[in-house]
Amino acid sequence: MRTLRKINRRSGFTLIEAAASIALLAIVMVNALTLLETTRKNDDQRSDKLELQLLASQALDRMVMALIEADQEATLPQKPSPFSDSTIRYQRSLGVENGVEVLSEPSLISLDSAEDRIIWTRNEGLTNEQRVVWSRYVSDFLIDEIGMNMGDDNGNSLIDEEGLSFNVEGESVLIRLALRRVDRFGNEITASAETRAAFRN
Amino acid sequence: MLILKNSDLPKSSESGGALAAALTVVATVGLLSAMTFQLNQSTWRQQLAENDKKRAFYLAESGLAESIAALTLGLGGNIASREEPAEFGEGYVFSETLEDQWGNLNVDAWGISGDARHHLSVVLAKLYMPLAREGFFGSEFVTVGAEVSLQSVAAPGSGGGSDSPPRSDTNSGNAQGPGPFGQVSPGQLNNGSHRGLDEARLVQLDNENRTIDWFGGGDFKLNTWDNPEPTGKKYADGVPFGSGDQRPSPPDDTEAKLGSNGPIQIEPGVTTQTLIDASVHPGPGQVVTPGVGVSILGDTTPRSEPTDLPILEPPTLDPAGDLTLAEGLAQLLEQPASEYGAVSLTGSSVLTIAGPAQVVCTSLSIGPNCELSIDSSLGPVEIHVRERLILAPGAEVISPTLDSTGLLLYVHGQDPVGVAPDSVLLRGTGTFHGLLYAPEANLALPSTMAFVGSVIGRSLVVGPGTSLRFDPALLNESYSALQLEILSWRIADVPIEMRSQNYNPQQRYRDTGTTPARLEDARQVTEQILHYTDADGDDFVYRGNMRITIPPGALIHDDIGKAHLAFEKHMVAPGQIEPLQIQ
Repeated sequence: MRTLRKINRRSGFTLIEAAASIALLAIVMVNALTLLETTRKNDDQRSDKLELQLLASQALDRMVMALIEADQEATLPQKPSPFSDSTIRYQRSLGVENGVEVLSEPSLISLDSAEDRIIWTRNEGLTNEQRVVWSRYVSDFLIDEIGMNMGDDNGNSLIDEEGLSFNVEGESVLIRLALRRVDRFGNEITASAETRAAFRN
Repeated sequence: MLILKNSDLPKSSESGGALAAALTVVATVGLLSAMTFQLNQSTWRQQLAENDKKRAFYLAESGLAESIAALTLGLGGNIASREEPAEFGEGYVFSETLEDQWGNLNVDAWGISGDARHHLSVVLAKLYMPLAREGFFGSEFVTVGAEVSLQSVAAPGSGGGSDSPPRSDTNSGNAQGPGPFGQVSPGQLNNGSHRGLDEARLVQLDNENRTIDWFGGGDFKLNTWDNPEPTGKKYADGVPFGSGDQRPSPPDDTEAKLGSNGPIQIEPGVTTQTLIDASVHPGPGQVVTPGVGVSILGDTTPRSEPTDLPILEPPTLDPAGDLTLAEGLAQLLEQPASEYGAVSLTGSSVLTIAGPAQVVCTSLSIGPNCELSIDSSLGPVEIHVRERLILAPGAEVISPTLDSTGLLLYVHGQDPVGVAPDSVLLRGTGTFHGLLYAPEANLALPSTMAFVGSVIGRSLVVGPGTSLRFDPALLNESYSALQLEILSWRIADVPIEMRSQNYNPQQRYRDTGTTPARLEDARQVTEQILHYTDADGDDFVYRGNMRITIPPGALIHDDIGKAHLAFEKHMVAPGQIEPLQIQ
């Protein structure tokens, strides 16, 4: 007959061991939480910034898609560089009927400085006027432009350009847009985008 | 015998609790991973959709560019088809081109990438450039032999083109007709009857209150001709088409023209006066040297700038080999577009080309006593000779309609510098009616022939006694493959059937195991010409060889029996079209 026997050497932790473990765990947890919080905050900030950038890109895309269909001759105003416009009037080509080009009703893309918005307007001033907000958070001026000083502060060859600027150059228009807002942490974030749209008509 | 004591049994902490805890942790981590994956996938899908959308736009732009490139080469401008789009990049492209009654080209291009579809539409106007505006022109020099007579067919005393039929106003730039079918509305056509679809032709209209020989049967009567203005001839099957309102009016100048960028020398007559009832403009700083007794009735001031002759590209068609007509044979060419290698007529054979037609050949040789007959009663004939044109002694180019606008003969061959005529050898007889345009060939016009219309070459030598008559009607004729101007570019709606999941070319190609054509290989050959009037009464012409989208309610005016099988799939009855079904 054989008897199996094991000696139970430890049946628990000492108080010192437990205290040390708890202290170490607390330190690790605090660091982990701090890291998590920082990461989350950074992520939120990045998310806000990305969202603003996305907003700028979407607004720009919208303007481009409207303006590439525009008839160049019906596009106003055409202020030459280094000046720019924050408003553009245009008429889209709807095709050709009876051999003649048919244009859409007059439309307008403008910066509403009071509300920091981009407004698209059709039939401005008429009874059937339509207005749609295309973007919010538009900055008063482009990034790094101080404004109202007749100077080119940001080195983009434009003077006192507003947060939305149009420059018609030949058969294309250069569109610049800057958005600015305060994120949920109270920090100011900005986004800018620019592109050139060639008039197809 | 094994005896287990209590202390040998597993403790409570070792009785599966750790496994449960581990499973919980794994499950939590797994759930979190799945959520992250879902989130990322959703973002990825959004990005993919965004990319597809942009790619589809650029694919559609590529389709437009390809169509425009094809049109400038004189092709139909149709690229692949809706059911078999061409592969390009990571997507698919097709485009459809229609010519409207105003002569404008409507190009619609679709880009397909993933689930995204984009539709762009452009309307192009053909830039008007009359090749005949210089009348009789030799770029390097012109030499006119003794006793040559040059005048305009419109000149008083010329008999108004005594050997020409009464001319319509179509070619004077005043045509204001409503379309290729005059005042014919779809309703009028529906109310009429027609005899045989295989006789589908619309004959030349006169300027009177008339009976139209519609479908060859003569059963259609246009009793109410609201617009009494002469509309001139209209072609049911070909170019030109429409009233041409988009074209600027040609110069109001019916005076004959003799010109060069170099000197012009005119020999005196011996027994008869050399009469040049034309403006004669030598090149800048050059002079006209008339012999004794030469009468020049027009202006002779040198031109201020040299006139460049555009070098044209012949259209690209499917070659069909050589065409040789031997002794006494006669053949009729009726295809709207055809290309051959060498076309050779020998032994009094006769080749008749019925317009509207576009014929391309490497060389055209008309042997002694052979005839090339141009039947332009239903439309003009456009002949492109890539290398060499030979009219042997006794050979003749006959135009029964006596219409200068009925034959546009382009010779693209190039003579070596400073040698005698080689690319174009004219030794025939009879009267040539039409435009002969050979900007890189030295031309010698023999006294055995008379020329009515316009002749343009690198140099021009007119043989003694040759009769030249400039026909201003040609001022309205422009080369079909000229520059195009964009009248309208727009983003168009994607048809609902194309937005549905059923329309998936990639899946279809995969299922059928077929390989889509590459974009550069997908240009359609102009095999079929289809005329139709849509529900709004607007007329369109399609040139291609594949299925096209014809709106429901449209009325086809062509011979359905002759149409390509592809077209038949749309048709449930003569003149009726079944809406396109996407599988």
